[in-house]
Amino acid sequence: MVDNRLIDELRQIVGNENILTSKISLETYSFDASPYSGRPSVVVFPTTTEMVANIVNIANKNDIPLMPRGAGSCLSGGAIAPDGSIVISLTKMNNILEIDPLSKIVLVEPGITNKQVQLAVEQYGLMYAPDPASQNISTIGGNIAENAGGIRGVKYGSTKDHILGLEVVLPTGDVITTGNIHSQVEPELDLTYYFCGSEGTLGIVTKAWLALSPINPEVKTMTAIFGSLEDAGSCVAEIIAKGVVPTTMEIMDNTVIKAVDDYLKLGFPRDAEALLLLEIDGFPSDVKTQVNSIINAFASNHALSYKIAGNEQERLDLWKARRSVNGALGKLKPANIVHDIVVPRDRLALMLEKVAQMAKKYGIIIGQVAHAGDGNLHPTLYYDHRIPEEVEIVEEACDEIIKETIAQGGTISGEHGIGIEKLKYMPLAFSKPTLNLMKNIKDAFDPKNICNPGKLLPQITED
Amino acid sequence: MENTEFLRSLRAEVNNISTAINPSDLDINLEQNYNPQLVLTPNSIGEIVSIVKLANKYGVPVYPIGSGSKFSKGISPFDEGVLVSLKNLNKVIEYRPDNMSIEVEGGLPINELQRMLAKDNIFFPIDASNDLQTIGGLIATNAFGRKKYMYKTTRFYVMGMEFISPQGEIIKVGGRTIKNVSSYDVHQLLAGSWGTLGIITKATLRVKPVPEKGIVLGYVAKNGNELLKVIDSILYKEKLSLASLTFEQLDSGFLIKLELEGFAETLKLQQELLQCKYGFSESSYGFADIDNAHGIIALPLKSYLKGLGKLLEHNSGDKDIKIRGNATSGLLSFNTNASRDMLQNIADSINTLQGTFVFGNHSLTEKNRGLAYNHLIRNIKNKMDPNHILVPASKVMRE
Ligand SMILES: Cc1cc2nc3c(=O)[nH]c(=O)nc-3n(C[C@H](O)[C@H](O)[C@H](O)COP(=O)(O)OP(=O)(O)OC[C@H]3O[C@@H](n4cnc5c(N)ncnc54)[C@H](O)[C@@H]3O)c2cc1C
Repeated sequence: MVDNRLIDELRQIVGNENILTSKISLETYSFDASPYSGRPSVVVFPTTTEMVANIVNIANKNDIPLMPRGAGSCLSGGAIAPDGSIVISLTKMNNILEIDPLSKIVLVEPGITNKQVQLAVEQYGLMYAPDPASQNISTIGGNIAENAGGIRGVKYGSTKDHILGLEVVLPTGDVITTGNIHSQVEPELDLTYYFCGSEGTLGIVTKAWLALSPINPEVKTMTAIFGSLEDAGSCVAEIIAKGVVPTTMEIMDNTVIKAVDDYLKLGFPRDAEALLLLEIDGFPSDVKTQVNSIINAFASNHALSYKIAGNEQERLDLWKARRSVNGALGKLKPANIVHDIVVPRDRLALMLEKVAQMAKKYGIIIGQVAHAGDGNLHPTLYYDHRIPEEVEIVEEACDEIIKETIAQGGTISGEHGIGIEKLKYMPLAFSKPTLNLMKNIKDAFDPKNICNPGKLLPQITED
Repeated sequence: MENTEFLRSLRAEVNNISTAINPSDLDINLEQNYNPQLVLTPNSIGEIVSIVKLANKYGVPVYPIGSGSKFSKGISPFDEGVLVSLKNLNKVIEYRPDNMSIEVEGGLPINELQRMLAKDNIFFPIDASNDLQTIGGLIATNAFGRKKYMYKTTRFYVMGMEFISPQGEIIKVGGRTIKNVSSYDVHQLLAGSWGTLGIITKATLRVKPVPEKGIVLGYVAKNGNELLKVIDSILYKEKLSLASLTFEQLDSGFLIKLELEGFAETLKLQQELLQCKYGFSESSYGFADIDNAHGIIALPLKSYLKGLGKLLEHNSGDKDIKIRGNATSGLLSFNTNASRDMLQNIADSINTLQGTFVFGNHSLTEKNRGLAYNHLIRNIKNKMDPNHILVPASKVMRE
């Protein structure tokens, strides 16, 4: 338990200005972007790795749970403070420590936001490729812990594809450095990538070496409308097979198209079953070749119409529909739940159709947008949380969506993580020996199970 | 080792398990002082499970092996235990060209994978140094090829995996989707684990469409100074679809080769630029061999020129050292019987540049990750392999 003596010890480590203990301020740290809540005992804002290590040592010595926290934008409950825990907010460790444009590497502290990194490296003609929609607020530490992905993911991959090394304070208080900023020529076990996506359960990232990519000189944006999800799905497959790798390939279904059209009056045909939004980048000559391939794919897959943005204003117009999805659909019902399932890309159209059928079967509204190039679907189920029957039906539909995803050879989370929300689905996705092995490895990092306990791994029942 | 007991029990469990005494009977050439007592060639995953479970029971060390090309790089000599060859686990399990994924068994040689993908104009982007290297081996060593600059290392193409844990359980992690954050990425722990944490029996790989075009350009720089200048421009200043920049020292001058990959139209423009501005002209395949050398240096890209400059200085009196390099991977290599002093000098320079210098399989630069790191690695190993069955003579487990 965190008593006054411990609070004093923590206060001595971080200083008076970097600790919160009052009920009201703790309240604001009880939530993330998921529907869950927790009850932390204290929130500290360390400014150095040494402070973090000292805090962890106190937690470790006194068997107190702790949780690293970035911006708290986690959607699966990963940043919900365990009851009675010490929340270690990294938001005051937000410096850029070194930009090395020649090696295309930036060394940052974990509390810096994704956006701040983008802004800092832009002047060198470089970008940090992962760009989650939450980039204005979400932190690099949180991005690493959730292995966040973004709109550019089709071409550039997710967070773990761009991490070279980490400094981590382990749950035992030890500080380690992982990874390499040069080619590995000696046999060595690299733990960097095991930390990516570990949801704050293996330690606290206090520094990260990020790989940067050159900004491509030209971008082209286009949209196409299809009369069936199947046509849109095969169009996506054909584009990929031709060796064109768009940075973005988003698909919206009829429910979403209609809602967006009601909201923005863009004049979409009401019977449009799918809208595809594509963006490509590259050297100007690359872009030309790719546009030709894509237009051919539109034609051979019966696109009803397509548009190519000729200038920045037109580009923004094309994006407008995609960007307004939440605003448009939010009008339909007071509450919603979003999934982030992924299926093999050859099953995308089928999965979109299956979910559309489920909406009919359960008599609920499910809007579907998907990162088509990754096979990552975001079905959003709309309901009224004040009506118990609606809540129940939506839960049932969610379970069916997850089961269908697994049946299609897919995975239950592509972006948001397991957190608390998807714990119940873990035994569907992994065998007992596999879950046991994961638990064993977690023990190696965190023998006392104090680091963000209760997330990611379900209780494993013995039988 | 309870060799006879182990073998008797194994024979009782697995009919006609093929055994051999000498690795060379199976076309596996191990260096001297690597003396397994037995070589097993299981035909199924179930057989591997039996082997590993019995090995735990009888305390028999197990060494999985693919083509053996990097075996001695990651494993110290030993004379106790069995070698388990994956060569009969070489099937394709699931090929989905429209998903750009393929699931294969761990013993499949890379050349067979590439041959099969080529029919659909698809390829696995890791250009292995040796055609027979197995997929399991490439993953276990997190291998990379000449074009690392463009395609990175093997781990980035592993989407899912099945492996046999050191205690003989079948573990399935990851999947066949591009994005996946469902729980811990155990396959990322296995990638680069050099056999110590599990025997990789299946892997689902991300593959890519073959680029529209690839070209190789060559140019001979007259001396070290010119070499440095050209690398400086190509690596840091020009915007190119660059897959590799390699060079090798000739009797006089240095042959520089560039590989460009991408869309034909773009490469044509880039080729013209490189021709006019630097004098590069179309050249043949065949590249400097960086891997097979006594001395290998790895540097962060920003200090590559400084490192190369140092090496050229050391080299000035001694025409025997023929320097080779892959600037896009930050690598330098050379063969020499240079004096201890000179090697130490080089090591000192590389140390200050935050690089690594390996000479004859020994590191001369000390990158010490510290006790805590080594301790954590040991903890993970002990949790996964409490009986220390899998690759006990590994070089990745440090004290
Ligand atoms: C509007 C909105 C849009 C979103 N869009 C996307 C999207 O496009 N793609 C996507 O992938 N996600 C998206 N998300 C989810 C979320 O933004 C990401 O998961 C993000 O990476 C979380 O970062 P954070 O700083 O908010 O972390 P938090 O929510 O504070 O924490 C998330 C997890 O990371 C751990 N953690 C935080 N910092 C550290 C650290 N330094 N060391 C170790 N562990 C740490 C926490 O313990 C917790 O388990 C979105 C969320 C919202 C609200």
